[in-house]
Amino acid sequence: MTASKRKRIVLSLLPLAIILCFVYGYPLASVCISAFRGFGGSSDGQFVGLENFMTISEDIPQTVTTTLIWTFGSVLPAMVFGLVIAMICNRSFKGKKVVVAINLLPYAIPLIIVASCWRFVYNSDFGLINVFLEKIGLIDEPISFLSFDTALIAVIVARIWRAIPFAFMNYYSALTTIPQEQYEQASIDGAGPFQRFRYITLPNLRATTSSTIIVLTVWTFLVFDIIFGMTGGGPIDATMTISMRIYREMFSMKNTGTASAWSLIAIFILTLITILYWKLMNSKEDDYVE
Amino acid sequence: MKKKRILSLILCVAMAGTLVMGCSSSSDGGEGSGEETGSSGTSSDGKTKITVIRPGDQEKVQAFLEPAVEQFMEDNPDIEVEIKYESWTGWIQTYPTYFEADTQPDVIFWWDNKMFDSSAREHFVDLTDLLSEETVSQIPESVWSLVDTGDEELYYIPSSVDTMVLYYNKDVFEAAGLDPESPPTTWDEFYEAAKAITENTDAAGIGVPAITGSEVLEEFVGMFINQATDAPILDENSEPLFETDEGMEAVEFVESLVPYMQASPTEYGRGELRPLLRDGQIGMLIDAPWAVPTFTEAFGENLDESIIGITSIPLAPNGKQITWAGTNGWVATREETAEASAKLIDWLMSPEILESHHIAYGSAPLLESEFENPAFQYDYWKVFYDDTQNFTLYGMIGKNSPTPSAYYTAMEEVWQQLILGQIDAQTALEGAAEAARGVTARNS
Repeated sequence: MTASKRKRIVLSLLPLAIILCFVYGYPLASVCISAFRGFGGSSDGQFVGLENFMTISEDIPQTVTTTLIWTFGSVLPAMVFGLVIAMICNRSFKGKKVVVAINLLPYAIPLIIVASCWRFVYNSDFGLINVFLEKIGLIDEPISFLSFDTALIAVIVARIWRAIPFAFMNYYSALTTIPQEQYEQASIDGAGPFQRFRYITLPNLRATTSSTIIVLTVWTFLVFDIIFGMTGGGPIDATMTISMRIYREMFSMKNTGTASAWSLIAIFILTLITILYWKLMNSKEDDYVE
Repeated sequence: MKKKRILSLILCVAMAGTLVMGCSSSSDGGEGSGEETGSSGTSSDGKTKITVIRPGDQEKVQAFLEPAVEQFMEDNPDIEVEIKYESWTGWIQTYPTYFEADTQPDVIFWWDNKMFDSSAREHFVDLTDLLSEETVSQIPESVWSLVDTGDEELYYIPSSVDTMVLYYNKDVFEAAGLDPESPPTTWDEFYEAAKAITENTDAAGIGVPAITGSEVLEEFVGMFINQATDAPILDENSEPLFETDEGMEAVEFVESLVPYMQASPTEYGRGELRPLLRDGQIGMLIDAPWAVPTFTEAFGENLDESIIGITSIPLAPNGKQITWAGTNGWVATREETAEASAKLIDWLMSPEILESHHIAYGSAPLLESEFENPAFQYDYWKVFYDDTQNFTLYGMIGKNSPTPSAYYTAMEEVWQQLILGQIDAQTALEGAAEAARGVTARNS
């Protein structure tokens, strides 16, 4: 590559680099700086070292654990359900378009509305589930789905319901690109449905799986609306994820420093998870190539 | 090739230029846009322009504020008032940004415990010499004590006072073998009534609002502490005042009510409990005038003739007449428009506007003259009014702190553990005090 060509490439990328600096770099730098500064009180505006992290240190283990349960408890089932529904929809049957449309419906509903709907569904007095279970005689007393012991599972179910369409959409479009010849060839060679799924479908979906799981993990990790709308992070701290902590520190405690410290922890964990996913996916890809 | 190079260079400069221009225009635009949108200041026609906001349901706000402002502008042709509309939720989320950008309305309907709010404090204007004597003197002394923050100056004019009272379902009382005409007046009677209802009917004795993040549980437990200690929850330095035998007595009393609360209290806010009382699923509910519309919708305006009874809060063993009350009132936020803002506040606090404000918003009457209006002809309104006049009022916590909400958040977790039976009263009392001290320490 000649020097002038290189210069031209650099120049043409410059506008994008400037935009990225402003859009991503500036907020990120602000968060990093804020995490080590004092807000309010005598240390307002001063560099405070790790003090913000020390302030929140007691809550870190519980909150990170809850966040990881929330994230993986939502993403993995959503991926599995999305794949199953996509495989069903990949076949020809009457009313397929309607089924596909219905499956995409939850994705069109804003998260805060999802939260309100599920709060109604879980309600002890008039919630759909309790009324149904009472009507068929399975329970005498209503179940408190949003109580301390079950609130996390309840919000995870709502999140799974909302995340399935995204997994379904990605898998469905990926499934349509797998050449039918591969299945036909495998059938001729005597491969059963499970073997065809194991040796044809799954390898062909590897790239889709890896991108979908990363995107869904990041989204779910940072989802705020569903938990805020359904439980507000409670009861006590049963559904207190990192996103809820950030909100609480920012708007209740009014402490940008500790809110930024939580944000940095979130960024750190998400980066780790993403690297782990990529490594896992790449190593499997290498195995496959070998 | 040369053309392409020039083109890419031009593109770069244009991009960078646009960004810089974008930044500068946004910072310059603050003043310019202010004039364009007609916000505060003096306009070219010599009129003083001010903006006013009363957060809440727009229909209700419009019902009293639009005619009031119209009349005000007729009487004060040199002042132009623009009304801003915003829901409470929207306002809670956006007010710090307004203050940060100095684009907040000139007159705001504000909370009594947010006078030291870190975003807003420095903007509030002292109205001592600007408000009329009538405006100040019509507010009962009990209400002034409630909103006292130790300032010599006058920054806040309380306009509505919402005291906690006891609502009870007369049908449930009868079914439980209790006399619906003799509601509980003491903690002991309250406890016995809750027990009788739970044991003798399908209803729960008492509804307790304990949903996360809405401040209601702290207000519920806090009211019993106020009654027992005859003191606010926090002192003027935001240090807890309830680590006493009396505080312990109150927390133990709340603990004793746990078996008679509705199932899964952390699922319920006040709004969710009102239909339960209406439908006889709970026997008693401690609530403010905000609950009245739920019952008037079901039983008509005359609740005196309905199955819902309203009476003063049962008294603690010390026998002192104490209840919890929340207030909202008016503040002015700009020195340059303070005079016009004070005139508007004077007008909004005049008996006729105050009355229409209370009627539109379902608040209890604050002035005796309001009882002349047919909307307040029923006896149950007297309960709220008398409590405001005669009871010692303790209100929202954190009024001396820049982060009042933080105290609710921190203590709520402890009270939730108490009513879910995870900790005992002693641990709860210590935990709540520790939580409050933690918030104060973070602000110091």
